[in-house]
Amino acid sequence: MLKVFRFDASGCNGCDIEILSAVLNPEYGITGIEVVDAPEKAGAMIVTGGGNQKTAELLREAHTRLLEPKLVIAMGACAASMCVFKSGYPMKGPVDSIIPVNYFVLGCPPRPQNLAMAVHALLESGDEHSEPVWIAPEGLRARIAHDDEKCTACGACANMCPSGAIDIVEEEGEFRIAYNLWKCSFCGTCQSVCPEEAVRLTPDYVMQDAAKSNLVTRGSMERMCCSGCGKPHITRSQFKAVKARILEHAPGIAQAEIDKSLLVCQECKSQIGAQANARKEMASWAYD
Amino acid sequence: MNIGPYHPFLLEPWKVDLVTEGDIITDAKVTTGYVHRGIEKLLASNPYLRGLHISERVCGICSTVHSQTFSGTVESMFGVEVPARAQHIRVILLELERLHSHYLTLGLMAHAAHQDELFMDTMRSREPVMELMEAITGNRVNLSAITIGGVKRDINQKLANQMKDRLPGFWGLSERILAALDDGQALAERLRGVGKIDGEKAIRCGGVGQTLRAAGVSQDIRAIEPYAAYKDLNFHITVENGGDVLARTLVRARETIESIRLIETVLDGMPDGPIMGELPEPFETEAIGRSEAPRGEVMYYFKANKSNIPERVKVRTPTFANHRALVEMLRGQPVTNAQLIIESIDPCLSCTDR
Ligand code: SF4
Ligand code: SF4
Ligand code: SF4
Repeated sequence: MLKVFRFDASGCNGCDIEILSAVLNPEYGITGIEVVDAPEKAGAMIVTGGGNQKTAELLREAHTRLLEPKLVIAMGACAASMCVFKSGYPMKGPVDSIIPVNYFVLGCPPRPQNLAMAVHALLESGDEHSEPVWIAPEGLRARIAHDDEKCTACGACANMCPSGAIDIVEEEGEFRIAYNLWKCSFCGTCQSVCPEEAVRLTPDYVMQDAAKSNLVTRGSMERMCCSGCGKPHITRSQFKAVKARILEHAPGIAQAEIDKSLLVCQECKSQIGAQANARKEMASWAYD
Repeated sequence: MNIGPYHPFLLEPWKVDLVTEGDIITDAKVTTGYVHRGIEKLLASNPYLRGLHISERVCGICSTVHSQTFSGTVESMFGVEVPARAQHIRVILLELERLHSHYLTLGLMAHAAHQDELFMDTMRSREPVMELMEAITGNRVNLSAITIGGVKRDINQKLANQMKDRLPGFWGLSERILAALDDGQALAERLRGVGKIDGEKAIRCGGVGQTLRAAGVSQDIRAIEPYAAYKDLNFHITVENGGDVLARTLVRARETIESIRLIETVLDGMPDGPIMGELPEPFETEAIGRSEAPRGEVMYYFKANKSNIPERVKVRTPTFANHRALVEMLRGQPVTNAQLIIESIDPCLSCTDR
């Protein structure tokens, strides 16, 4: 029987109440642990919330009082990244910046079933829980799925994400998108703002790992090169989306013409324009 | 005597220092701030639609009432029309939230009074409420269901039926709790006369929610300043006169029955139509909005300019308002009653600290 101490560093208490749910409802399958009321009686700690000015120090101190093997589960997005509170002025840092963390379990809050699985994974017990045995409702908002074919790297999702969980970078001639699940609050905003329906929250709620950097959904959008200068230009999806829009509004237009025009980058286009202007200008001198 | 900041019977970190003479509490000092996250500042530096999800995470128990008050205040400020169907769905979500929140605190009260069977029963029978919320919105706790202008997801017939099937189970639990609070039952007798406060004093201390309603003051924002679809719905305001822990517990227990009735009524008379309204461009203005959270009145103040980021946001939460009354309730009581009295205001520290 592993004794566990619960520490609320500074979250919304959603995670804490889910611990209560998980521990009190045997069907969620947490077995082999007992929640105790002081760190010096426990060998493990479940920490919820990120550390703030008051709790960071208390957390460090509680960790020193914890008995061996001093296992720490960081529960929820707050513990892993401070979730939507990341830029709050009293916030000091995520739990793993204050004490060593053995295991992350994600969600805002994680489903009690996932917490149970994380506990078993950490204790290396209860193999029967290595697969989700609980049916998740179809509309559950968990692990994010991303469709490279549809995404235009427009950035709307990253802009509206309340916890800043989405990074879009330009690398090696392509756009790369990363949904950092360890920062995500599973609010569904990215899905509702995406104009291309390229991002979706799926019912796959098992999100746990010893390293939070493994809990990321990635996508990469290859870019087509400019037919003028040869540099990386728009993504295939952008190309397709704009072409479809043009065809919708101008059905008679020759497709090859659209392709040609879309494949010239902005820089080259402005150069062409500049050259044309210059030519016109020079032509007018000749007649003076 | 000090309780906290981390104490077995406190679900969240806070500190209550009791000044005692012998066994009797003469005064109390409440220290909070352990879960302060600077939310008001965050709300005033994020666009409305991002702030909405931050405000929801003020509290993991009453998250929906925060997104309702946030959205409701912004809607009244900018004159957004919210479709009737969305308003009715909001009532369902808010009442489900009241149910699970009340069951949680009623369970904890039973636990504090050493009625462990009722505690376990309540905590287990509460799970189906969480499952319903998850089925409707995709999340168990921070529902992210209400948005400015409406709601994000509709309730289809299948979900409505699922909900109707579950309501009798909730009704059964509420009746079991009420039976334990009947005259002569061990739980009722343990709570009777503990932590009394009269109506006048409760008002003077700025108390809200059950602190008032258990002391004979009929005050419920759903009735006096209706939001969502409450003005179209009939419901009773639950009032008790004892002013003690028993009365506050009874008010909550009876409110669960009222919530079940409200959900039934809404499910039977849900208007058809869209679930999202039109959103206008922001302009310079200000507004105050209030809602009846499970623990009492929540108030939001907004000051807006032409940008999509509010200039100032102020949040007042019920537990903070009840602190003064809590001190009054504790005074003159034996130390052994402290836990029951603290539990009886159903403290929520993440709300208080923000
Ligand atoms: S991760 Fe989400 S549910 Fe958990 S404490 Fe943070 S905001 Fe609350
Ligand atoms: S996922 Fe959607 S919103 Fe996000 S960058 Fe791609 S297209 Fe834009
Ligand atoms: S669901 Fe999408 S928008 Fe919401 S926090 Fe996660 S990544 Fe950001």
